[in-house]
Amino acid sequence: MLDTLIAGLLHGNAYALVAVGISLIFGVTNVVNFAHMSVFGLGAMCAWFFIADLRWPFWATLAVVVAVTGLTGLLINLLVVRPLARYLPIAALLATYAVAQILDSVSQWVFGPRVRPFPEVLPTDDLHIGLMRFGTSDVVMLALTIAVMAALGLYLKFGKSGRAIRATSQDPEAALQMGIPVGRIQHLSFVIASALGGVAGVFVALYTGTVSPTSGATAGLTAFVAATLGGLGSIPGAVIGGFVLGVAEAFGVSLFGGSVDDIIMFAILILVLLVRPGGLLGRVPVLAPEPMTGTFLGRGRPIRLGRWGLVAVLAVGGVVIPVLGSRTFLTIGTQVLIYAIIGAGFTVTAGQSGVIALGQAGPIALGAYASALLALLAHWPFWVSLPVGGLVAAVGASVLGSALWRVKGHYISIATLGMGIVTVAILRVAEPLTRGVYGLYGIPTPHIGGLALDTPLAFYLIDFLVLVGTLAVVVRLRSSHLGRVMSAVGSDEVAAYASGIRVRDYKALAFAVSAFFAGVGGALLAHQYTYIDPDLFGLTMSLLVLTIVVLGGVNVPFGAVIGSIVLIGALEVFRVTPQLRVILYGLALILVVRFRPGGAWVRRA
Amino acid sequence: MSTVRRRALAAGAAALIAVALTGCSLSEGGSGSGGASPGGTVYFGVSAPVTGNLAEYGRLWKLGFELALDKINADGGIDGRPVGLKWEDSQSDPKQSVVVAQKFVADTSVIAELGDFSSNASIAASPTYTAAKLVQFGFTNSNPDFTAKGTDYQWSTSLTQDFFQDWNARTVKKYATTVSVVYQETDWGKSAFGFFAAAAKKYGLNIAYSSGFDPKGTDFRPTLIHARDAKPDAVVHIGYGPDGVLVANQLRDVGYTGRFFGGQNVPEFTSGAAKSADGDVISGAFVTEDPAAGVQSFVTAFRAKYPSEEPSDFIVYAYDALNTIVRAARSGGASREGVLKGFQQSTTFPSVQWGDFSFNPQTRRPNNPTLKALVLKDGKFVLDAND
Repeated sequence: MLDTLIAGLLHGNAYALVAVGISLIFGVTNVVNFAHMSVFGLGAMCAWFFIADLRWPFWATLAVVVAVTGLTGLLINLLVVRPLARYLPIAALLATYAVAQILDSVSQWVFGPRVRPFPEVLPTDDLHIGLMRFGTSDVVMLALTIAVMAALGLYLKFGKSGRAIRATSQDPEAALQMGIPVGRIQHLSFVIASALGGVAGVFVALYTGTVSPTSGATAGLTAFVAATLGGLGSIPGAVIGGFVLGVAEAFGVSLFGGSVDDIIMFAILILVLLVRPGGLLGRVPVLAPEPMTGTFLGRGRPIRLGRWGLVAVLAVGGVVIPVLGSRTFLTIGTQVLIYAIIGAGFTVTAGQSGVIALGQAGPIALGAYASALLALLAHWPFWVSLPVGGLVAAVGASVLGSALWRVKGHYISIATLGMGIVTVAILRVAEPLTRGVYGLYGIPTPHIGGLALDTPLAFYLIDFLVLVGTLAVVVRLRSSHLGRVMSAVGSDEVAAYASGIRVRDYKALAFAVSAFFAGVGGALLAHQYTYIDPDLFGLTMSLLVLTIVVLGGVNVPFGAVIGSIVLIGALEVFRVTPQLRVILYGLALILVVRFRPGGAWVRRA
Repeated sequence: MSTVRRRALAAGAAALIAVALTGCSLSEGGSGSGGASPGGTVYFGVSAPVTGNLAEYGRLWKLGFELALDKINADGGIDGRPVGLKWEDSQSDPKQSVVVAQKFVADTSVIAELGDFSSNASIAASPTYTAAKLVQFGFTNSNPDFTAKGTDYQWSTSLTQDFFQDWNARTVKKYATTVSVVYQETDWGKSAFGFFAAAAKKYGLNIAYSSGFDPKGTDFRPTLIHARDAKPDAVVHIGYGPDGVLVANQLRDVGYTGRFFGGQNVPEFTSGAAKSADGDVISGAFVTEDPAAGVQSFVTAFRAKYPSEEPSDFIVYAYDALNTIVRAARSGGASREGVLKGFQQSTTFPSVQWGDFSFNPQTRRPNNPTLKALVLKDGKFVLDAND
């Protein structure tokens, strides 16, 4: 028991230090910074390079890491976040995700992909409590966390620029009017937070003993949850969140085994958010439009296709491509179509009801597994299991998400992200039924009569028809009374509430509609891959769906088609240069978001 | 927006799709005609993790392939035609390996495929290769299902996990009677543990505690505390190199002082766990000091080409795999049918791992392979004197 507690505290110590930076950036810029994880990884790799390769002393290395990561933070804010946040924070969020991909790839390119032992610059096992050994490094890390927390606390409370940081976070417009150079203050907090991230990277590498260019991603997600748990923007909250998570994970894993850490982490997060919607120490968000979407519904109007445009698109998609496309092209085409189906359905949640859900992989997985299992075990024909997969996803996601709708703002994004991961974790644990990590093989492909529809062309045509159906339903829904009510909820929650609309119920309904199409998309994937396992439905998939929708325009069902073509097509087009593939992809993403921040299929109003 | 502009946009979008379409079709047609001309380069497709968290294995493969290619082409390639590789990055992700498969299938200059790295990425792509009658040579796929549930077109030089884990349990039994086992919570790790547990029972090795761990995690102490508290003679780790380092080191951090078995013969493990895993015994395909002529000529050539690299298992697997498939193509002919015929009819294949070997045509895996016992000493795996 005591040993487990110590293990948890040691681990929580590492989470806390990373979470502080995430919380700081959020508090000031209101931007959730995914790139922070990569800055963290970059710091660790830099430290490895200077110590192990160039033989620099530890303290000099730490100074270099602070300089490099601080500068990286400044560049991220200067080039990506700041220009975009002016348009809308969600674009900035996606851009930071793209930056994360670029940084990770560059780091992998420069340093090589392998995992390396991190030099023991401070003793890591010279102390012990009972049998549990730890090192001076852990003590220094703890001291650093406390020092940083205290210093930041005092600085924010009494320092001149510190107070400016707080003023900026409370009300940027008012701060600007009071003569605070808001731009410079935001730069400053990015520099401070990123430098902290870099230092955290060094100490966490020392703690785990190994370092690799992608090590930031795993630690980053947990730290992210820790920051949310403590209350985004609250520095002591981030530290407490880190420790709570570390200890809870240790006891959870100790009691239930190593495969449940995801479930435990997000279950705690969701429970805390239900009791305290602003996190442990955060301010409870006031009833206001979703900070990420609310302001830009009026920013642009969807481009209308017109009758001939529609005919042209149908002809190209339904006739020209199937006739001329090669097998490879059609295979990529099926992926594009499936993600377009999922994305078009998702516009109901993200666009109309204004909830930026980050966990669509959950309902996609539910639909995929439901349809695959019905086909494999009960021998249901594909044509029946497909819509049933959608229904299972809608019902399952609604049940799992039922408690979430009172959570608001960024917190709902993180909570849905957690829900997606928990859904997949449940599928992984339900091994007797789902075969868990072994995955399901031999999922039957669709049939008509005795004819097996297992060619890329057949898949393409099926997906195309389903997409056309999806778009028809979603577009029809938008113009219905129900759809207008949902849109009202998304554009101004307060006004909708005041008009007697039960806001939460409509959000839940919109989410169920999106989950249905996500489930249908998942079922299509399952029957076309003929193989699925829980790993397919990770965070990357959720982010891809959101990115597709934001890229096309959150309120534009047809935009999801464009977004899907760009994002999935681009990754394939850039295959010609494997080394640069992800980097070019990230750059393309940033450029599109930069020049069409309202969505590719939206014109400025 | 004006009607004209709207139309222009729609037309633009259509044109864009059309261009992409023809671009794609054209490139395939181009490479196809190249392969048809006699005397052109013979290509093998490689579906591999070039980026992503398994990229290190892709890099090791490349070292092995390039070295083998030098010799193969110096010896006149296949029937006088030079041999080349077409790489596609799958990140060893089943979703991407299927797309890669479609690409190779459509490219008629590709006569067989090597990879993918992980069994599930390979298995997901198997139906595509089978339908196109293209040999899929999954030379690192230790999951028996890859060949057992595959068809005539799935071949592998990787020994299966039932074989490996039987050896593993028998070896551990020499040093311990009670063990704690931690294994990767993945399809690979769980099935490997299943084979280990069955073999342990057979040899009378008592498993006092077992648990999976998430290989993407960085902290395994809570699990390892339980492993320690079961008071085993040894702790067995079933996983890869990078997680092996963490398990071995953290095992010492929770105060365990007994023997450790596990990890992999990759630099990531031997450099990171040199101290904490000292005395670890694993099975190996190869060690540099092996006096066998095949091993020595490989090591010499390797050191000449890559002075700053150290030869290791995955490099040898790749090196052997390319030589094996080239032998098949030389015997059966430089075509898709030829490679299959070569695999089925040739009786000996060259290898660094076992010298000359043959395939069992039923299992499509090597016949009667042998494993060497390697022991970790001062951060290096060497032949075990006790073996």
